[in-house]
Amino acid sequence: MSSDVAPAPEAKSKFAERYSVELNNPLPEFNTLGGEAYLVTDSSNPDSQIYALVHYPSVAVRDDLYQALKSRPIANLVCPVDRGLMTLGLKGGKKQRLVTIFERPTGGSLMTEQGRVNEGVTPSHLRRNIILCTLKAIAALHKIDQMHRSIKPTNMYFSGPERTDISIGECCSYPVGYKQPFALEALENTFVDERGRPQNDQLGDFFQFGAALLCLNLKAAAWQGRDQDSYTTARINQGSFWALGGGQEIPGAAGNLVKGLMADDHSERWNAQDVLDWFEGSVKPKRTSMTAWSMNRPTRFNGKSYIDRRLLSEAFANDADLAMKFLRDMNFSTWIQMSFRDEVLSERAEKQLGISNPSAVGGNRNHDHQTITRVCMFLYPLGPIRYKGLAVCLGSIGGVIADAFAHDDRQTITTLSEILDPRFLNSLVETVGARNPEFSQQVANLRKVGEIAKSTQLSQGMERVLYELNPSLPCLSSKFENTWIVSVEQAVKALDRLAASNSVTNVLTDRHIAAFMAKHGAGLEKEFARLSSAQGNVARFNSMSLEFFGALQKRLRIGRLPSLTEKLVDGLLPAIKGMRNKKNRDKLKDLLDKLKKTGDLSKVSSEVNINQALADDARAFASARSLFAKLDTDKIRLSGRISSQDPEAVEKGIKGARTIAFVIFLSALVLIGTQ
Amino acid sequence: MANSNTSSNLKLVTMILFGAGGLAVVSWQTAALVALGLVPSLVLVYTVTGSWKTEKTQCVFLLNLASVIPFAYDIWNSPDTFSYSISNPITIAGMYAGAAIGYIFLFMGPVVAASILQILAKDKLRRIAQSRKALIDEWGDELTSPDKPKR
Repeated sequence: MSSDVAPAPEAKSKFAERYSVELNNPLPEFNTLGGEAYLVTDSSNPDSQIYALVHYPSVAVRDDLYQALKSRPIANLVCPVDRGLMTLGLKGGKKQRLVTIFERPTGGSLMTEQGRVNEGVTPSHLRRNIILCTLKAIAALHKIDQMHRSIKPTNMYFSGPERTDISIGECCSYPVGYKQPFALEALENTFVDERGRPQNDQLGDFFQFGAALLCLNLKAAAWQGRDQDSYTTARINQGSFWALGGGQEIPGAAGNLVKGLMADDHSERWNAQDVLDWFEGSVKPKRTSMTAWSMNRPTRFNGKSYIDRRLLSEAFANDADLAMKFLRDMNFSTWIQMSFRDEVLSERAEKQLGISNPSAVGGNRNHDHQTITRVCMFLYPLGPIRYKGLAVCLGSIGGVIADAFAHDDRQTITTLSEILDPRFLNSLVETVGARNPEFSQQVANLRKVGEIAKSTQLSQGMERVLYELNPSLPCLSSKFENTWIVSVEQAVKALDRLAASNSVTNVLTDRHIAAFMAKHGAGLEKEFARLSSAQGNVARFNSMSLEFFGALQKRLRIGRLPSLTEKLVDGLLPAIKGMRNKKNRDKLKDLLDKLKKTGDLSKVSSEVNINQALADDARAFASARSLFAKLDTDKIRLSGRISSQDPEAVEKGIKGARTIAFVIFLSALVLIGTQ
Repeated sequence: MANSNTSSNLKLVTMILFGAGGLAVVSWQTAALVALGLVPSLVLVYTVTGSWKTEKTQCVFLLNLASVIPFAYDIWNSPDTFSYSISNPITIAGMYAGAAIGYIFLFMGPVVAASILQILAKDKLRRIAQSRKALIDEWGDELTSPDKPKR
């Protein structure tokens, strides 16, 4: 363990006193992409069937959904019971982690990752219970404007050992659709990076519902072992139902239901009402449409022939250099006219795409990548932004940023910051135009974030973007590796613990800590701007750090911070050593020694203004120097022999003579007057 | 400075002339004696050089006047003795001796002042040394070194 890491707090919270997580009893079937599941005992209710999910710090939780489900649980959904921070003896030592307690279904999952189906799953049970239970859970979630988007057979459980009702697994420990298998995602969502799939998509839940039913009907983990490119091609050419089922038909009414739910066309996909109609036997005929994204004639690129715009867009993005050469070598306007007869590409739009921009030819690689992005969005306006190997949806880009930071993937972070450049996004809005109005709204929402991303100032940059777009994410600073920091108060307390064994004088230069505090602390933006300007001056920066923490301690009414106070005061000593006045220096040192024992930073900052003291000292030193120089001059002058020619002697001598003359004159007058 | 001295001297000459003129209305003998007695001062007004001209002139004038007053007082009381007095070399010498003493004062003043200043300088040097030590004690040796930015 690095010694530069704040230790986890020793004190137990009420939550930690109530629940006891059994780390030696893992429950892997309840593991999610947001954390690991363990058996847990509730001291208030020892018989309760619950499990604990120990969250990963790098995955944002869905706080709003947690609050909604905790206050009003939904039937047939694994709902949270409680949540709190706990210090656990995990690998690598004691770590403070967020732990959520969930209701525990005890009948086992409907299918294992290996594709083994639970014995309780029978065709009649599927029709009678599983479909209805799942539908109820999905409908209830949609009613509170939430999506599940992790509906898969391995995440569906029999609620009890009698194996009648089922519950869908929890979905509040990770972002919507986060890293879900692409084969179980609706086709429109599979083009996007798995870390940031589109969120506002209720029909995506129904697709997953259908895909889960398909797997259960076929008794196979059909999503396993798929190659994404060939599978996507198969889905586009044959439809998702046939591609996922490998050509196997599901006989009878169940087949109709699954086909309806897995329809690739949004307008044709079944929703809750359609499923209820199906229950009542009034099946509406549905057929998948595969014509919407077809070109009028195929385009041959990189040895393959493409007829679907989405696939061509993906192919261009996968090899941007080749795509750029391909587009420049052809007559773009003619290609558009031949391939997209129903679309008119104006000269302005063609220029906006930037393919034939002579100034950029053979020059800026970023420009080429941006051009390809625009072409990809022209081909598939509802698709993701494809840029330098990434395919992101603006509405859920936060998950991608969080994952990149968790893996310290600097290249992806740089690429993401380029994507967020407002100028680039505006050019994409122009390309997409009215064909995707939601995109324009997303760009408008991210305008401020784009400006922040470009800034190199402390508390800004991509770290700040990370916390702006993932408000529930704890601070990812390496200093907080062993702690779970979701508020400024917690951060200050953790830094106090860190200060007990380490220097914390430069802690505010940690970009994660600065960005996190600026995001979560009201009015701290200006403070960080001031700190940023003082970064080159160690003395000033340390003094301002002390003032900063002092103000926080007072404002947040945090108790004593003995270690932090001691270290921050020690950080001022080099500056005090620079003071020239010995007396003032010793006096200030004694005062600081006395104040640092109080553990009250606000008192230190209110009683000691080190910047003022340094300025006063410099001013007084300048005066002392000039006085000393004058004394030196006087000394030299007075050290020599004073002659009668000396101007001072002349002046004093003549004036003295005149005075005596005046006295004599007066005496003469008096003498005459008395005669 | 030169203009101010010239103006002061002119004032002195004007004052003497007016004084003598006024006196002449009452007793022309006294006025004539005073005018004769103050000749050295009038000469100095036009011949004085160097710095502190006004102070020099005032010094000689006051002593000159102080030596003229007793003789003028006698003439004032006995105007008949005017011819005797004016022809008496002792009277002339007495009146001019005041001016001479004034000149001696002007010569000796700076010499005496230099001696006194020399004595006072010793005391000042002692106080300067004390002040220097106090400053060095307060600010350290850096005060004596050339000005350098401190890190």
